[in-house]
Amino acid sequence: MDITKLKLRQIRDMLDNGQISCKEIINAYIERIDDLDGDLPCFITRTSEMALEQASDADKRIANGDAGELTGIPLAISDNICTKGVKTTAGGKMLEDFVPPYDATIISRLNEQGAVLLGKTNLDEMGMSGSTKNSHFGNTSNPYNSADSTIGSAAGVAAGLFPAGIAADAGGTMTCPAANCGMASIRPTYGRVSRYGLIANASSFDQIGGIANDAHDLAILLGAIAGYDEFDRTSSTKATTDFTAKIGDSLKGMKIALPKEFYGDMVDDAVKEAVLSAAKQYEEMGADLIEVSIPSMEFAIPTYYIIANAEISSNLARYDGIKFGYRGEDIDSYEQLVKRSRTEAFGDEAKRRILLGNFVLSSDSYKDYFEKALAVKQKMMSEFTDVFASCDVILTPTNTVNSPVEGSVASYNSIYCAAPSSIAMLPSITTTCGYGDNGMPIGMSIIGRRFDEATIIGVADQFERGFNKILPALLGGR
Amino acid sequence: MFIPVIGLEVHAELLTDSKIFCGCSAEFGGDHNTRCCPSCAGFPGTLPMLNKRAVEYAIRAGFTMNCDINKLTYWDRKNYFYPDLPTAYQVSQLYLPLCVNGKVDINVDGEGSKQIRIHQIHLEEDAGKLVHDDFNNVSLADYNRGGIPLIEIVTEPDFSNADEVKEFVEKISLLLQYAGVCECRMEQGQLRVDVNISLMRQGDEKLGTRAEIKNLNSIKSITRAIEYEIKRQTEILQNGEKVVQETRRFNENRGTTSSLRSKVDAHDYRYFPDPDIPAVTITQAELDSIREQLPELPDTRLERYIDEYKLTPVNAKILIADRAISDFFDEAVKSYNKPKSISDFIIVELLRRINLGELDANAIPFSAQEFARLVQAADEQKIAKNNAKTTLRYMIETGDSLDKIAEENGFWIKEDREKLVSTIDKILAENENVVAEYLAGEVKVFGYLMGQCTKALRGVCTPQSIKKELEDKLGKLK
Repeated sequence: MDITKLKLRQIRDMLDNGQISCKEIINAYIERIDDLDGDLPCFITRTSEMALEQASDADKRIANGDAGELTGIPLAISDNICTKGVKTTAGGKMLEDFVPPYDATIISRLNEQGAVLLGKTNLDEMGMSGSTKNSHFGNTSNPYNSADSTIGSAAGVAAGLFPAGIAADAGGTMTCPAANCGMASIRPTYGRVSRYGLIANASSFDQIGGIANDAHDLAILLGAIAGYDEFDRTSSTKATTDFTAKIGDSLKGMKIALPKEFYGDMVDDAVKEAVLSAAKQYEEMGADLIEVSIPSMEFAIPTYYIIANAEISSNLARYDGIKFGYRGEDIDSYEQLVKRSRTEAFGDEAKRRILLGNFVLSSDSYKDYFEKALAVKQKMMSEFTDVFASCDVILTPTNTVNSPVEGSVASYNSIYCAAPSSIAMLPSITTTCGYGDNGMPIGMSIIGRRFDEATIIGVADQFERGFNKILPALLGGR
Repeated sequence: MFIPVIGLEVHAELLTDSKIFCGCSAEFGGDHNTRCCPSCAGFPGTLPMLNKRAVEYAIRAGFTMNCDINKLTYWDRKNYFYPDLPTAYQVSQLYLPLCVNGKVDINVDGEGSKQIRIHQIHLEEDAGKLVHDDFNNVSLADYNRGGIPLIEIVTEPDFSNADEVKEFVEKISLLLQYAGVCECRMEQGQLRVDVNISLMRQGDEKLGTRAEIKNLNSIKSITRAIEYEIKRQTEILQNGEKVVQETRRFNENRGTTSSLRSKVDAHDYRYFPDPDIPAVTITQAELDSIREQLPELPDTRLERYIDEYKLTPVNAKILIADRAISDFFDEAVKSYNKPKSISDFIIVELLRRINLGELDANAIPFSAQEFARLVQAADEQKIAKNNAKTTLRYMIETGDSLDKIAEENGFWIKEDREKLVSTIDKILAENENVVAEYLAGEVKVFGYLMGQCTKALRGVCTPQSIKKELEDKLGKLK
C-alpha cells in the first residue's frame, strides 16, 4: 500500500485504528517530497524536522484517545499564511526573510488539533494570480502538464506530496490552479474562515480555503479551520455546521442553475462540453437543470481588478523597507529608502497592480472607476441572490481554457468564471469533470448560497463518486 | 481692511484603556516601542479590531457639541507614506463620519455670545512618533502612540480672530473633559490644533486663499500663530500679491510660520472604504444610553451655581473649570448645604494647595463629605478658622481624618460652660481696675478683657460664646 495515495480521511481511519503511526506516515511523505519535489517544486520552505516532532506528539495524543479530526494529518500551508518562527515569504523578494512573530488564526487552530506541517508552499507574490509566474521562488509545474505553471499547494496534492493543502483564494487564485491540477478545492463564503495572519492581497476577496483529493476531505479540512475569530472582524459569527452533513444525500429534485453567461464565447468549447456533460449526469441523478442569467458578468473582470488592485495598492504600501522585509542599501533619505526598497523587491506584477490601484483610487478617477466597481459588486450580489431564489446551487466552468495561460491580459481574462462568486462573497467548490486532449484536467465549480458550504460539498461529492480520475502522467506512475 | 476667516481641525486623543484597533495600552509614554504589537505595528497579515469604547467616546464628544450622529458609519483608508505610519495608511473617516452638524457657543469678553458650527467629528487612529537622533544622524520610529484613538473635530470657518479661537479651544477642552473622553493636556499632545486661515476684503463674498498651520500644541502657540499669520497675509495682500495655498508650520522660538508644502505638492490621499473594518450600525437605544451617561455639562452647571447657589459668576467659573473640582464641590454641597462656604473654602484653600502642586484634583485623598464636615466645623466655630486651614493641610499631607487631626492637635472647641464661667469670673476678679474703668464708661477696655479671656479659653469655647458671657457678666455688674 502506498500511504501517499491515501485520502485524508483514510489516513484518519488508519491512525485511529492503530494500523499505522503518524511517524510512519510523515516519514513516507518526507521521502516522497525528497523524491519528487525537485522536479516540481512545490515548497518554498520545508519543515520536516518540526513535522517529525509534531508527529510524535500526535502519536501520543492518538494513543491517549485524545485525537481530533486532524491530529496527525500532514498538511502543507501556502506561504502567505503566517507561521510563528517559520519563514513566511508570501512568494516575494520583499518578505524573503520575514519570520512572523505570530501564528495566523488558522495555524493556531491546526496546531491545537495536532495537525502536522510539512512545509510552506509556493505562490505568486502576495497571492497575485494563481500561476507562480509572479513568484520570486520560480515556477511550480503542474504534474499533468509541465508547461502549465501552477501553485505549490495544488501541484503538491496532485503529486501526492501531501493529502491536503491550505491556501487562499481571491478571484480564482486557488480554485483555478487546483482545477488545472485535477484536484478538488473549496473557497468558503467570505467571512467563514478567519483571515488573521493571511498576508493581505485583495482584502475583500481574500479567503482561506483548501485543496484536497475530493470534496469529502475538503469538508473535514474546512471544519477544522472555519469559525468566528475576534482578530478578524470580517469573519462571521455564524455557527459552523458539520460540513459533511449533506454528503450522500440524494440530488432528486435539486435545482441546479446554469447561468448562460458562463457558457458563452469567453469559454473554450472543450471546457463547456465537459461541464455540460457533468450537468447531464446530475440530471440523471434526479436534479433539475435551469437556465438563468447573471447580466453583470459582463463587468466581472474589470470589477474584480479595479477593487483588487485598489486594495493591493494600499495593502502593499506598508512595505517601505523600515520595519520588516527587504531594505535597499546605500540609502541617504527616507524617500530613497522607500523608492529603492520597493523598486528592488517588488516584482513586475506587483508594480503593475500598485500603479493600477493608485490610478483607480486617485481623486480624478475614483468616481469613474472605483465607485462604479463597487456598484457592480452590489449589483452582482443581488443578481446572485435573485438566482438563488429559484435554485439550490449554480454550476459553472472553473477555467475559461484548458491549456496553460500565457501573457498578462490572457491571465486577467482567465478568471472570468472564477471571479464572480468571489466578488459576490459566495462559497464555491471545484472538482474535476473531465480531461482535455492535452491531458490537462478540466474543472467545474459549484457555487452555493452564503454559508451553505454543506450543500455544494454534497453536490460535488455525488459527482465524484461516479467519476474516474486519471493520475498525473508526468510522475511516471510514481 | 481685511477680515480674517478661520476654521479649525482639532485632534483629541481619547481616554480609552486600549488602542483603537488592538489590545495594546493607550496610556501616554512608556519606553519606546513597548506599547505596540504586530497589529498596531502594521505587520503583514494582521487585521484591525475596532474598539467599541472608542466609538462610544466619540459619540459622547459629539453629543457635547450638539452633533447629529450617523447611525451607519464606516472607516476609510487615507493613504500616504510616512515612517511613523506603520501601514502607510491612516484609518480615518471621510465619506460617512460618526458625528455631523454640531454647534458650540462661545463667549468672548466684550463680544458676547457666538455660535461656532461643527462640520463633523470623525474617529481615527493616531500615528507613531519619530525620534530624531542628530548625534548619530538617524531617525527612529516609536509606535507607542500609533493606534491611539483620536477624534478630529472639524469646524466651519466661523472664527474671525485669535480670541475666539482661544475661547473655543478652551470650551471644547472643558466639554471633552466633562464627557470623560479626553484630558486635553496639550503639553502631552492630547489636544492638537490645525488652523486654516484666510483673509477676505470687507464686502467680498468669496473667501480668500487659505493657509493651513499644522500641529499647534498650546493655546499660546495658537494665538501667536494666528496673529502672525493675519499680519503676514495682510502684508501680502496690501502689496497686491497673492497668498499661496499651502501648509505651514509654526516656529515657537521665532513666533513665525513657514511653508511646509504647497498645494502643488499636496497629497492625493486616495481615500477608500477600509475592507477590513465592517461598517458599524448604532441603534437609537444605544445612542440614548450613551446620552444618559453624560454628566451635566459645564454651561448648565455654571447656570445652576449662579442661579441656585447664588455664587458669583467669577467663582462659579473657577469651580466648573475643572470637572473634578466641580464634582467635588457638588458632592460637598450635598452633605453640607452652604454652597458659598464650600465654594470659598475650595477656591481659597483647596485650589491653592492644588496650584502649589501639593495634590492632584483627580486624586484628592479625602471624600467630599469629610471636606464638607471641615467647612461646617469652621462655620460653626467648632474649630478655629486658622486651625481649619491647618487641618486641611494635614489632611492633604497625612491622609488622616478630620477627627484624628483635630483631636491630636487640640483643635476642637469643646464649649465647656463651667470652665467658661469660672475662667471669666477669675479674670474679672484679677482685673478689678480695668472692670471699674469699663463700668465708668471706658468701653474700649472691653477688648483687653476679651483678649485675656480668649487667651485663657482657647479650645474651650468659641469667641462668640466668650464674648457673650463676658458681656453678660459685665452687664450685670453695671
